Amino acid sequence: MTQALPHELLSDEFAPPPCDVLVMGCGNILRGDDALGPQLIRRLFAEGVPRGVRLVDGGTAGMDVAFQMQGAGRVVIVDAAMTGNPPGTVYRVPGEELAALPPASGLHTHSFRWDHALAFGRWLLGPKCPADVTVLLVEVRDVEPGADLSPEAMSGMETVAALLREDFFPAPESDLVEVTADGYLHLDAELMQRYFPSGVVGAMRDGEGIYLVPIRSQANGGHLLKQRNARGDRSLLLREILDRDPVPGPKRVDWDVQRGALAVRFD
Amino acid sequence: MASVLWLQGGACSGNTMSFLNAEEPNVVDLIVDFGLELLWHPSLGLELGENAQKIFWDCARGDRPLDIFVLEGTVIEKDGYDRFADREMKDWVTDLANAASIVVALGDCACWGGIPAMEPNPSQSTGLQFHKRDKGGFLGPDWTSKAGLPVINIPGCPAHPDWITQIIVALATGRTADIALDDLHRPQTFFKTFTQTGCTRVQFFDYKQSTVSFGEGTRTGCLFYEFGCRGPMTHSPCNRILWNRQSSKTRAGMPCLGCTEPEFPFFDLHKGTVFKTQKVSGVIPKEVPEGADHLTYMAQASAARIAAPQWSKEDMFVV
Amino acid sequence: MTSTDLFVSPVGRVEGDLDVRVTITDGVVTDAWTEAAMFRGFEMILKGKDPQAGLIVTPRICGICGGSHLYKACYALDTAWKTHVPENATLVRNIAQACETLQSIPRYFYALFAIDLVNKNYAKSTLYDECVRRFAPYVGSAYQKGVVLSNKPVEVYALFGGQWPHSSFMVPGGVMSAPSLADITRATAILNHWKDNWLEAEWLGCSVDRWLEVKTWEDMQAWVEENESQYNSDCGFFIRFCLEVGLHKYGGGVGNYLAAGTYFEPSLYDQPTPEGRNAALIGRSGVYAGGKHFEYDHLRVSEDVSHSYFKGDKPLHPWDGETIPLDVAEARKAGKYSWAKSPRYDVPDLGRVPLEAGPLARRMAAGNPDRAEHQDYDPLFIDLYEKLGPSVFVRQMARMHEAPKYFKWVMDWLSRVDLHGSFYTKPEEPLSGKGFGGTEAARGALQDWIVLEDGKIENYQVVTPTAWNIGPRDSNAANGPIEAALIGSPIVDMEDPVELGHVARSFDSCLVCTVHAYDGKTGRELNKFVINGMV
Repeated sequence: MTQALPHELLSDEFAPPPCDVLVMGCGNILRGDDALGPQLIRRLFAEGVPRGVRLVDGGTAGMDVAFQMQGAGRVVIVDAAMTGNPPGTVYRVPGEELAALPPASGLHTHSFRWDHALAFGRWLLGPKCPADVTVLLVEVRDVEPGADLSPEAMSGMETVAALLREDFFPAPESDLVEVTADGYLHLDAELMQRYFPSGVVGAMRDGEGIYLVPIRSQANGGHLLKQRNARGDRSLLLREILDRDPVPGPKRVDWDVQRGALAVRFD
Repeated sequence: MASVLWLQGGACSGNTMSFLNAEEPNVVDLIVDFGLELLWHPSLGLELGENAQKIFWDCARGDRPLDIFVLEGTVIEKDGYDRFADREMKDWVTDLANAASIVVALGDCACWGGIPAMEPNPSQSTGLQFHKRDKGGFLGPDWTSKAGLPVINIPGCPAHPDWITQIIVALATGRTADIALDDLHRPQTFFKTFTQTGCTRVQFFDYKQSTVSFGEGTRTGCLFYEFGCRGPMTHSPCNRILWNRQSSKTRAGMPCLGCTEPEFPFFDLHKGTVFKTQKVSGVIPKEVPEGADHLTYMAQASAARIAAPQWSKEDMFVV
Repeated sequence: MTSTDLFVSPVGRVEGDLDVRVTITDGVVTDAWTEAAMFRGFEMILKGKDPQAGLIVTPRICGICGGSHLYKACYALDTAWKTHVPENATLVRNIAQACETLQSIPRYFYALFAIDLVNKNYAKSTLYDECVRRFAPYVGSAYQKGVVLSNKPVEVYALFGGQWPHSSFMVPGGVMSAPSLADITRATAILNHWKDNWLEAEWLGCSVDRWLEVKTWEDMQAWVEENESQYNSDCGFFIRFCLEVGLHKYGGGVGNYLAAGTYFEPSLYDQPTPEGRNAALIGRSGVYAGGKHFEYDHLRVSEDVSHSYFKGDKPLHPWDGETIPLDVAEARKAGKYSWAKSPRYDVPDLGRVPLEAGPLARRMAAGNPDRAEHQDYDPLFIDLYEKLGPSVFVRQMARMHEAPKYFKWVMDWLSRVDLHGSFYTKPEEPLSGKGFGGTEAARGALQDWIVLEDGKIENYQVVTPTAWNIGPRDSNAANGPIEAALIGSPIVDMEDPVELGHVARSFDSCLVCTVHAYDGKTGRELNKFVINGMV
């Protein structure tokens, strides 16, 4: 009887759901600029990422990151590096170099870096390992325990974040809502679940639009997002917020990170 | 989809009429689109006579599953004063409440006894599980329905259509567990905040600037100080979720009567209590906003009056 | 010859549940008997309370016409306290009262009355399929539009009163609110939307003005045939359907009418009094009996309790009225059978004859040519009465006719509101006084009589339109209007006596009305059906 290969032992039941892009941030969050990778993940999480993007904190997850790679279309691994170049420099490890990595050896859970992740992942997933892998490294200087991210590391991280949004993330699907002829704002069930799971919102007028702010609990007041059909689609009476009904039709909405609110434009 | 049986006891149909004003979903949507199975309703039910009675008996005996039993109107306890389909209505209420998974008391009458239960309560009216603020009513304080819930109270005189439809929708789509009830068994979604929450006059309240007259006098000021407005003491969403898509009582210059609270109508409408703030020494309101005490209130009131800006003494809701 | 009694068990509501027992002989109703089964005792509750308590309590007598209760309760106090009511306030009160009625007309017609027209007994009619397509409950095209849009007029009510149902914004001396320009323009826009999308588009199939040109039965028939739009509108269809299935042949009733009138000309009723009321009315008051018009005089009203579960041995005017309930079992032994008091009006020379209240009564009163400039004069229904006689059909047309008529009146009143004027004059609050307030709720004359003493309510009597229409037999044993209307109705199918439903529902009573059928010979109960009296 031939021995089963590692990827054959993986049960589909426990596989993470497929995604278009997996972003993995490696590093040690307690050690100064080495926190860069995990900090990036936290930043992207707070800002929100388009559908299809999955974030994995590779800081202390160790080998788990390799398991997370299952089902990903593309993988981007972000890590700090110290090569002696100016801090803040961002590198992209060339593809040839990635292909030529040595097999996993000397793996250590407390020192699991991007190359370990990749090597282990290939060993584990075999043919199921995503082929499209990019590694982005940011040059850092100080990895003292307890230190904050240095300005250079921060700048490098922001560059990586912008690069991810430009080149790697799918274009954000613009969500649409609808203003009815009767003066109601229609939001679909999925949008409501994503942004306003409690079903109540605060509203703020802003020029030709409004901001809808999630309110934590139904008991805390706010405007009611009425359930209007069995699917769970919602309805908000605009007269509760505005003096005049906007022109009916579909309207774009965008999540405003700074305000933590959904911007609805009526013009 | 959920089956609903809706009966009326000592009722005026105000809650039904309010329900018919519902939008998003409206009543037609609820039944046609949503698939709510309205087994029967005094106005909208389609079965007549024997067919209607068969539905009631089938539900009462448990031969037909009943998800939600809605009662609008009081339970009249005096024999002979409310007979329905050949029995005392209260006997139907007992049987159907015990047969249903969930029971909803709709409107003040079904919740607390309402106006018919005012002195001298000639019909011996009471609410399903409360008589005014006292737990008990017709079914008793510890009664629970088959789903293990007490009677869900949707008070108001009448209740707003959204309070009715959104709760029925939640119950019908299996979100019963999401409905948190307060100590008067009212859904917190609607009844935790106050009538005052979102009232357009609240800044006048803050600066203690009273409306002095009805009519054009209500273009400014707050109705709490002189006209008996119970906004700060009443739990309701009336100024968050507009009535008839337009307005609310206090926005239109009518004081809140506190109709979602068990004591409505307050003071039993005794001489000198209607549309008049009850005061101590003719000056200090007897009731201050919930959670406040008189001393703090007085101190704050003086400070507020001193601080009141000029605009708060002028008409705000102008032509 | 077969004689059967039909008795339908009540499906009560409002101030009660109404049982009607009917005797059928050879397929025609030969006798009818009404009984009202619920009691809440509002008049007892109001005794001893603050004078303004009626403004809060009487709307809860009926949530369907709660605004009408408010209107007349307010006028009862205005007359008792002798207030001054600014013209703006009269306009706002008129607007609100009319908007409640405009809501009620389609809501009642489609949700309560027209659903019976799809009864399978009419399946043989060539118009049946169309009828089902339009009027089937919930799914009918006309049902959906009519019912869903019926909430538009009460949005206008909410602009002035804050909410509908159950605002108490009308107070002695005026109203609590003062609208802004935006309120007026919004109200106008909402009503125009209702007219454009239902009243003209669905019901009439023509403009409001075109319909109001119809003054005679011939005009109405010509209107139906005039073009496709009118022929196929809900109104055009309804007329054709009624004539085809015979709804113009029965349900006539007593043929005598009472209207208390409503809507005041602002300049003529700024110091409201009972005596000055008739002259100030725009929607006419009046009694039509024995073929003649009489001026309406509230002093001729009395309440008879000989068959009601109340103490009393002679009919009393409401100012002297009492509400002392008896033990039901004891009272039944004495031959009493109803909770409804029996109001009667003493018509000069004719005595206390039963009078029908409702839209047809209003149309008959409006046909009295002797009137002032500002008053409604409308000969159409006098013409229908003379040429066709009253019936289910004529009663319903009277009701629907008010939609375009009142729409025009409301638009006019809205345009006359002076936003910079006064809406309230603070009244003195005398400790004693007597007042009378009346209005026309959608279903008919609704009146309050109040007596104040020592700053409290000493006596409060409310006479509802349904009490006029269904009150039990008085000491003269005359049939009430609904009883009389049922008599003579042809019953095609004993198992499914839908004709009784049409008649009872055409009265739009506040009580759920149940009709029972008994076999006259054996006393065996044959059939029972509930007429969902939507209120």
